[in-house]
Formats: sequence, C-alpha cells, structure tokens
Amino acid sequence: MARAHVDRAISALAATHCAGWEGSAAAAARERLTELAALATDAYYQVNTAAMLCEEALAAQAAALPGVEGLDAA
Amino acid sequence: MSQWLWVSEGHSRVDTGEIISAAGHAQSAVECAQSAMYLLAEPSFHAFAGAWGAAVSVPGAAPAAAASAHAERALSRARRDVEHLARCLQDYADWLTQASLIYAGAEGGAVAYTQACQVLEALGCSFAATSGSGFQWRTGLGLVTLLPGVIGEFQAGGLPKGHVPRGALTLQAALGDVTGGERGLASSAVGVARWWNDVGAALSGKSSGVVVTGPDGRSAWGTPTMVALGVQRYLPADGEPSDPRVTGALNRAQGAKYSRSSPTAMLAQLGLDSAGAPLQKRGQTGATNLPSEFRLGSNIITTPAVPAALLARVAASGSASAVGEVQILRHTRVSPVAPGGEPAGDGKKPPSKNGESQSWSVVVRGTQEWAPGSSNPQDMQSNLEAVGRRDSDQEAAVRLAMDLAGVQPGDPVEFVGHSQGGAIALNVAQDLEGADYNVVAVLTAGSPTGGLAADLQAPVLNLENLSDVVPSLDGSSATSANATSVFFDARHLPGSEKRNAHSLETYVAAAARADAEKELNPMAARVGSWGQARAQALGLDGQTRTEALYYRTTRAR
Repeated sequence: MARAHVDRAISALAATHCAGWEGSAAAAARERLTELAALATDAYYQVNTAAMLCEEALAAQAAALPGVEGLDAA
Repeated sequence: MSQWLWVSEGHSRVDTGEIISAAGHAQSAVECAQSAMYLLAEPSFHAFAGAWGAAVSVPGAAPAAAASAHAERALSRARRDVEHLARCLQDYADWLTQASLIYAGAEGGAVAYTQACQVLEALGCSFAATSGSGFQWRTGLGLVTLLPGVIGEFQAGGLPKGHVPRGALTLQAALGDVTGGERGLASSAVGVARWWNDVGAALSGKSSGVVVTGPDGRSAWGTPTMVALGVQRYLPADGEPSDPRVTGALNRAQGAKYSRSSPTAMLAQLGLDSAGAPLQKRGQTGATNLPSEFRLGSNIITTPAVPAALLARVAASGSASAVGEVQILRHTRVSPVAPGGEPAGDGKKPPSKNGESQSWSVVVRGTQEWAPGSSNPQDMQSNLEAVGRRDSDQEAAVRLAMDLAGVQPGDPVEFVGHSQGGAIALNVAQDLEGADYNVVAVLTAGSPTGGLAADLQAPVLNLENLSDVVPSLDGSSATSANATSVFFDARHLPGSEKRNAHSLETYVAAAARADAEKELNPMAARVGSWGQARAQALGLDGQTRTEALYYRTTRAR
C-alpha cells in the first residue's frame, strides 16, 4: 500500500511540470522539480526495499514458527 | 534550499491555468506521500520485528529474528525518507500556489486573482483565509487614515507557519476591484491628493514649493513645475525680495535636529560588513582597500558594493518632523593611466583632467509624516501624488538635491528608495532619463511601483515582501520596461519575527540573502546580475571613493 501511495505521489509530481512557463521562476521550479523527482525516486526505492525485506522476514518467521518453543508472543 | 522568493520579469511567460493545475497536482502528491508516511508508521509493521528481535534464544529462530531486525531498519529509513519527501513536496506545493496567485493577480487583475483563489482552495492548496483590513479598504479618507495602522498589523511573521502569506496580494486585488482597476486607482489617488492638499493648506498655510539646503551651505528653492522646467532659484537670491515662506523654510531646514540609524549596525546584524560582504571576508572588500586619506573624512563611507549595502544606506538618512533629507552618494574613481600617459576613460564618458570619474547613488527615504499640512515633503501628500503619477514636492526635492550635488547629465546615476522613496526614485529616474541623464539602475524596496515609469529603460529591481501591504497600494504590478520584481516570503529570513513586514531591515535582510544565494538559486541570480550590472555601470571597485552628501528638505509654507 505504501508503495502504491509513493508511486501515485511520483505520478502527481510529474504532472506539475509547466511546459509553457518561462523565466527565472520557471527555471527555479524546474530545478526544484528535478530535486524532488530524485528524492521521490529514492523514497520509492527505500519503500520498495523495506517491503521486500518485510516479506522475507515474514517468510522467515513462517518457516521458523513450527520449530519455535516458548516464544514470548509480544 | 527552501524556496522563499519568486521573480517576475520582462521575459516571463506564464500560463496561469497551467500553474494552478500544477499546484493542485503538487498538493495531491503531498497527500499521497503523507498517506504512505502514515502507513509506514503503523505499529503493526514494527511489532513483529520487535518481538522477533527479542526472541533469539531458540535455535532456528535466529535467522527470522535477524531478517525482522533488518526489515525494521529498512522500514525506519523508508519512513524517514517519505516523511522528508512529504515535507519537501508541501514546500513545493505552497510555492506553486503562491506563484499562481502572484501571476494571476499581476497579469489577470482582481477577477483572475479571485478565481485563482477559489480554484486553489477547491484543489486543497493551503493558504490562510485572511479577512483582515485589506477587504475593508476603500479609497478616500478611509484609505489614508487606515494606512499607518494597517502597515503595523502586517508583521513579517504574521501568519502561522505552513500558510502562504497573501495579505498584500489580496489588498492589491481588492484595491483594483474597488476603484475599477489601475487607472481608476490612480484617478482616485489624484482626487484624494487634491483634497489632502486643501486640508493641509487650511491647517498649515498654502505650500509654495520646496527648499533644499546642502552640506556646503548652498541652497535652492522650487516648485515641482519650476524644477521640471529647470528654472529653480538658488538661495540667497541676490537682488530679489525674499519670500518669507522661503526664508522661514531655509531657517527651519538649517536648524533641524535629526535622528539617524546606522547602516553598518543593520548590516552587522546580518553578518555583513558595510560594503555588504560577509564579515569574515572583510579584508577583501570596502574601506580597507582604499588609500588611507579616503578614510579620514567624516563623510567618506564604504562603497556599497551589493544591493543590501546600498539599501541599508537609507537608514543613514535623517528624520525630523518638519524637515526631510535626501542622501546622495558621490563615487569617485581615479582611472588608471593609459600607455600614452592620459587617464583611460570607460569609452562612454572621458575622465576629467585629473583622471577622476564620478558616478552617483541617489538615496530616497520613505514616508516620515502622515498628517496633512506637513512641511516635510516625505509625507502622505507625496505618497498620494506619487501613486497618482503626479509631480510631487518630494520629487522636486530630489532633483534640487541632485542639482546642488553637481550631478551632470553624462554621469552614471542610480536611484534607491524604500517605501515612498522607491516610487519617487522611479518617477525621478524616468524624468531624468527623458532629459538625457545617464540613469543606470533603480532599486525599490516595499514600494508601490505599478503604473510608474513605464518607459524607463534602466534596469529596475523591485523587492516586495508578500506580507507587506505597501507595495500593493498601486493596485497593479510593476510596469517598467526592464523591471524585475522579486516577491519574497519574509518568514524564511532569520529574525523575521522581530521585524515589521514593511521595515527597511526586512528588505535589507532579503537583499542580503538573495545576494548570498545568487550562485545557487536561479531566481536569486536575478538579484545578483542586477547588482553586478549596476556596480559595473557605476564603475564601483576597490579604487572607488564614496562620499555621502546630505541635503535637508522642507516645504516653503
């Protein structure tokens, strides 16, 4: 779910590009957009990595559960 | 780097609808990122990892616990990154929202501005729904009597963090709406100016021009019309009966007791020396590079090398209730000797015989008196006449001061003004450019500049704080051919909570920050390039000697 939200944020961000805008403010906006795109890409990568690791951890837990005794179910 | 300023210049091309749409998309991106952030912060994600991290005593469980701990670390990092992304996206969305409002107001007028507000609100873009005095303004008496109080109400940090200030833009739209647009506003201002003048005449006697007296004892008198025609009188006028109003004004001006502020102290608070360079680099700039004799005179000052230092000079102008002051900086530079033994000129104007060339900065302070009938030409009367695009006593005072200082048509001259001073500076600059003076630059700070100096060719830099109502009193955006308007959010400036939105300090701080970011921020670069062009045109460098000349001004009434 978090991945999907970040993905949608990136799509929305891409739609903020204003092709008809010229001048210093437009240049600043484009520079800011480039920075944000890099940030968003990195965030997406981190969320994706975390999701994969969570899945692996869940799989490891599932594999370990039958052999575990006395586990504190906190 | 936070985005704290916006620039509108001659070559800007804007499709306002496109920016409004972009602001809406940016706001959607913020909401998506926030949703992701909340999901990643949910306790259920982390509970299992904590449990398995504590349960490593059982053989076979260790790999699962290690995997859980690894996942936990990755989750924490992802959450931090998405949180940071959401914050940056919010800044960007606010910035686009503000840009769309600025352009809608500047290009489409009040109707487009109002529509932009409605659309942006529907898109969920965040800006405070202010309902301050701006909406209550009307032309005439209500406008002019409310002014001092309203200026005080708009503080630099007057809106909660996270909201885009728009008081000034709202006022601009409201003024244009009430008066029927830019022409209607100017016409209203002229009507009020006439009425204000009549009230002043009834209270203090009819005004008959302005008297200016300089540091060398030379003085001049003239009405705006006389000055425009070049028939001002120099005082004392030999062979002519002296007008008691003129004599009284001269005595008043010469006897005035002034209070002044220190530009050096103002710049030091911002970590700058009096040339505008960072204090730690002091040895590289300013007075320390000058020959020792240039530092001895009481009126010799450090050459203001950058816009912030130039603007800070306004603080040095004196203030007294009935007497104003115009400050003129005379920059003298000894030209290097050419191979033939003659001093080298700059190609436009040959240096004098002794190899010196001169350039000038004319520094104009803002409003000092608000009541009708003041003898100080830096008053509400001049405000109304400036906004109404009529000649004022303050403009006549500036031109008389320049005349007394010896500014010649070929000399490079720049103008700088805060508040009313900026409007006056623009009007005088246009008049003199039309009279073949070599106007090289104009800097205004917190000034109503719309509709003024439309034909001025010299590069103009207008600084406007978005929380300051004064630049919006013109009801429109800047109109000079080569104007660059820099709109800024003063809340991003250090110490802004202690300063009034309209104060000179706020504008000096903004100019200083823009200068510091000129190589990093494309919009701040506009401030840097204006400053560079201005310094080059005036011939300012390490060999420049600058002298401050102060001219006292008062009405003959």
